[in-house]
Amino acid sequence: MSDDNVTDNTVLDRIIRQLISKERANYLENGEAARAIPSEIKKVIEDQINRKPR
Amino acid sequence: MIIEFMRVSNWRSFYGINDLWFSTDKTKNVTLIRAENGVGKTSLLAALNWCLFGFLPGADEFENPNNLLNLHAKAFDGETHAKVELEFLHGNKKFKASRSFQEDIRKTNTLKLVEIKDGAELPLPPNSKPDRFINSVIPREMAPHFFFYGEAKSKYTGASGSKEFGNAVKSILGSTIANMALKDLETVHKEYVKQATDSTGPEAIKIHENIKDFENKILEKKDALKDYEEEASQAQELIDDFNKLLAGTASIKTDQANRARLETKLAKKVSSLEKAGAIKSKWLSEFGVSLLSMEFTKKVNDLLNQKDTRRKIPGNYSKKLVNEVLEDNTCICGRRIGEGTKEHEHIKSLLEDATDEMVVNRVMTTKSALERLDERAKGAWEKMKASEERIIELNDSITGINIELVDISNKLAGHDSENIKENENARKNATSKRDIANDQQIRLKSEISTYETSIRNLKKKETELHAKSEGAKRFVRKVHLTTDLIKRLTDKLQYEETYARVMIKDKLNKIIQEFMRKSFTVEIDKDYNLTVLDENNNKAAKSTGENQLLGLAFTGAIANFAKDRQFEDDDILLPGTEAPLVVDSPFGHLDTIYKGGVAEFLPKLARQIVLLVSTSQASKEVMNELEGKIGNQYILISHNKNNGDDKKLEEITIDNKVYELTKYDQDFSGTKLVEVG
Repeated sequence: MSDDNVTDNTVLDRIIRQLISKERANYLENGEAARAIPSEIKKVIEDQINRKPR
Repeated sequence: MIIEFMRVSNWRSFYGINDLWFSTDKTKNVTLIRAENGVGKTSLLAALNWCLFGFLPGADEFENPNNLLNLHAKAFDGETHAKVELEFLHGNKKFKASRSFQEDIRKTNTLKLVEIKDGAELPLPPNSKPDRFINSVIPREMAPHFFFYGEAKSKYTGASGSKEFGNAVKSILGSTIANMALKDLETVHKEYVKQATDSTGPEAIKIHENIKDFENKILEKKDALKDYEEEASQAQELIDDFNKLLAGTASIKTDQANRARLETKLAKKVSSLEKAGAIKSKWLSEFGVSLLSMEFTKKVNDLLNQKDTRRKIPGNYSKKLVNEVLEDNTCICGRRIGEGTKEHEHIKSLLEDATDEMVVNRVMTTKSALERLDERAKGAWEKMKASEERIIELNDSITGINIELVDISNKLAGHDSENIKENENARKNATSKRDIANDQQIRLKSEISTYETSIRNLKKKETELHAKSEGAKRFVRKVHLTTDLIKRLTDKLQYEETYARVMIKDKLNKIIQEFMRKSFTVEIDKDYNLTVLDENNNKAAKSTGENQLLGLAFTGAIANFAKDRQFEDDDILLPGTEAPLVVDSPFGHLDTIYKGGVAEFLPKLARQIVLLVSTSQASKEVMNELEGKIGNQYILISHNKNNGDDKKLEEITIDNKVYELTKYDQDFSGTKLVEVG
């Protein structure tokens, strides 16, 4: 864990659900040949960072 | 998913239209398809996979993969399309899936899917995608565990087997998507770390380069490790084969039996040696403090004892009491002690050397702690001595056993029989290869571990530098979040995989205990290494038939686990599925008794079973056991335009009716599916 910057598990689970939903859509569309989707993953992460109060 | 019907039209060896109705009966749940080799069993299975997922078997199981259209239909009938249609039930609905291949433009068309209601074909809603729908009915990653090619065999043992087995568990668990997410998260995380580093400064950049360098080295080492694992596993398989060969030679049966006994004993001693080594390694952490403080303990004890022996004031003398005596000017015997008198002054002076109860208690506690340390230190040397003696004893035993094993090997290598000599020398070579490969693995693992430690330390330093850098701030938050996400997702997956592994192991053992003659049990460790143990908990050498039986048991256990998970509503995993189990040649290497056993348990493995067997495999024992369980039965009949050149007539009698398995002087060359009965 990243020490004092640990994110709450509920928040993490919510983000993971979002990521999985993106990956699932990609997989169902393209099967095992599906390409990686790091840019979509980044979008989810950055949306989360931007919504958190600084 | 329950498959009702399949139509193959000019597909591979199948000429014209061939219809196959699968049994949907719950009791008579077996559809039996009999065929001789090369007539079309694999093609039929391929048709199923190709229609639903568009993939074909590997080259080693599927000759001429470009010939999807039946050659006779193409050459003589001018046909241009091969087609496979499949009707199946899912939920409360019936669907028809179809896929075709267009020879003239060599194109495999996309999957078509319609719903069938009251006999009419209804198109699916405009935005629905057939591929997606099929993937939700039977995820393509799970499909190979239901419709699998080749004879069922145990491919899950050995180094490559553990990988196969791990993949099977992961795929049946539906963790592919979560693993894809994990991989993408790791890519994104690395990107953020790099950005944070670039914004921090040259020191961080240098550290980052070192980390990357070490990571690359680990990858190289891991590749080499994989090669050595494979090499050791192949050598072990060879050794097992030679053991079987040698064990079958009557004249050296005793030597072989002795060798097997000694090798089991050796394995136990080696395992005990590892344990003794671990105890010795723990010794320092257990006793280090006591031993290091021995000198200090001695000095403090001497000091305390000195004070004690002076006995100016008894150890339990109460300072409070003396003060009360002085304040009251009265001794405890009642005599008056006036202030300023000689007695008063004497008692007062005693207080300078006096100790009170609290100090006494402190001294006592310290003394007792020091005594405990001292006692522990004494036990330490005894334990070390015992541990070292045990290691010497085990090493002696191991050397002794190895000498005996070398003697046996030399004896066999010098045997009069050329055959034995040859096998033994080949076995020796394999043993040497295996041992070298095992040593290399130990070396590589240690090197990987050293690099990992270095990476951990460097990452810690890198993180510290990021934390101090103002420029890296905005990336650091992303690094932290991706770190936490990776950890959380990894933990979740590990939990699910452990659960799946345990469940599959239980199901597997239940099947094995019920149907295998010998009392084997299966152990699966966290790396998916699978060990089959005999009733004495020794690693069991298995016959080909037993391996095949194990393979079937795995298939059954995995299919059953998928069925258990079909209604799982998980956040990160795909739900399981219930699908027909299509098994090719399940009775291949089995002896009569096992054949009967397998025929008994196969129908219990899934709701719908399709068995593809050669006519010789459908023996009396098999058919007796399947009695009352076969819903539909088919034969694949080979038709040939040639006259057969006096080839022996191949026919089969089922329910008093004779069927020709190969027909000559026909109008076409190709396979036809014929329903029995």
